[in-house]
Amino acid sequence: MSGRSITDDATAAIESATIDERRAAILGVSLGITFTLCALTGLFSWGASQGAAWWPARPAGLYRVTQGVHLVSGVVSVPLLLAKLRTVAPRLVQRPLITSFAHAVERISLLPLVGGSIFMLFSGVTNVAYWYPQEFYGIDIGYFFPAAHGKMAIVVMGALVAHVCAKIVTTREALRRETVANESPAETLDRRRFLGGVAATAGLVGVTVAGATVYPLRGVGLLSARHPTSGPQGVPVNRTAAAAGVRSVATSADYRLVVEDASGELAAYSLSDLRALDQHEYELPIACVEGWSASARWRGIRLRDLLAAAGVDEAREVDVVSIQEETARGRRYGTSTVSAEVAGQHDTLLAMELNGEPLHIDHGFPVRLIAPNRPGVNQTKWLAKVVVT
Amino acid sequence: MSDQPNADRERDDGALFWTGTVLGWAIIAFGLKLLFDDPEASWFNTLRLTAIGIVAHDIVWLAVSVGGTWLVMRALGRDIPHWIRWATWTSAIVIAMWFPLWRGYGDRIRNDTILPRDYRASIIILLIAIWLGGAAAALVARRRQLSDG
Repeated sequence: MSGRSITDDATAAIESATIDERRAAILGVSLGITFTLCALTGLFSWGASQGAAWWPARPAGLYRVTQGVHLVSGVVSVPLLLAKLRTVAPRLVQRPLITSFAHAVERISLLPLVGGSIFMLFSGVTNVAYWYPQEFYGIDIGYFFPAAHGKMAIVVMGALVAHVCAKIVTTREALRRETVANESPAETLDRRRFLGGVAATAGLVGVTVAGATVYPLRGVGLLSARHPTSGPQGVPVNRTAAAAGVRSVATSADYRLVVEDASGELAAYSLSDLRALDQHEYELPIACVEGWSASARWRGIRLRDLLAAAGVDEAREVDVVSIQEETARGRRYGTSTVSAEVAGQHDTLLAMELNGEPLHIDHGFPVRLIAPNRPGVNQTKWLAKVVVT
Repeated sequence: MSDQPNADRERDDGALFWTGTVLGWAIIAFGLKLLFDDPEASWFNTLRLTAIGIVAHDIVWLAVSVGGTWLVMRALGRDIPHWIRWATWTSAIVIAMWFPLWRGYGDRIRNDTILPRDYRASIIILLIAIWLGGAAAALVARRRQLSDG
């Protein structure tokens, strides 16, 4: 290093990172695709969990696909974003810092884009890893993940719209060029190696988490926070009976499933009453917002049959209410709304068996809802009431 | 995230730029309003984390990127094989991303179906695979280069 100053070396380091517009353009387009996939699938997840009318009841496995795509595209975005930041970071210190009003606006628009993107990926990865930090270097960073993640996604998408419109011409030109001006063959090779390396890293981290929902990749899902067959009766659990505080009520001999409407109670069924009704069995997936999913055989009473038995003439929108709604703990997700369309499906069940055995209490014993194309949080467990609305 | 000034903006993409800026900031404002209106989002903590992200990028990332590259160059020289750079970079990403799995923070939830693997072993296996895979790819490329040339 003799004869070279620290400044020279630092400049060389910056130059080595500032490769070309083409590299930045390719990474930008890749990130645009993964972020858009994340945003769309995130929107689907929000719509599905809120019971939005536009979210369809079929195909039964659609949510597991969209949420699996959400998980993988989010995880893949991490190396892409880091590579993009690495490539363009030196430009932040180029002089002059501001050249025009438009340039100042463009730079300000980077703040929500960069900060929001880092927040989105950080919060997404920690949520997938089931890390709910209450403290971060002594700072309380508590927030409710779906609310903060979902709202910040809108901010990031807005910033992305501004950024794409600011860069689309430059990006298009950079991608059209066969060669980069003043680039030597060695530099071209270096750029291709860099991009190939980024693609390999993105593929690697994607494959290691995809096993949580893509069965053939289970074996290489080294970093999947779930295994699709790991859990009681071969199915994972998100909230246990102990965590929900429902064990004593759910196993009580006095258990009754009540069907009611605004006028009051229409019918009440003991466990033996429910077992005496027509039972049906279907294979349905259970898919969670964290991106894991598992298929299982569920057996129970059709919701529409139960409503008919209680004197409700046609499939109607209902609220299914869990025992956990009545306990001190775990009130969130204690109730979910089932649209008339979903309630009328032949495979929307009040399940009492899973994979040929009575429901394990962590899976919702004595009775739980299982319906096609719904997020796991809306497949309400430990049912107490079905309320016709 | 490039912020190089575009000298032709006034002529070529001025309308598109300003349309995108107005539309983009309208969406940003909408998102921020939802964030502020939702008590569960804890907007102060969310924005604080976002600000940390901006600082991390603009101050920490840039400094670490330049400083780290300078230190590595000084220690190893400029001709670091590409595969070593890739393996180092990828290893750092894997460790940074999955540090919570390494520490097993999710085990605090006391749910046996969460984090069913030995993630320390998984991460070590993955790191070994990254370095072996990188070396193997470099070897194959080297042999191909020799046979071509």
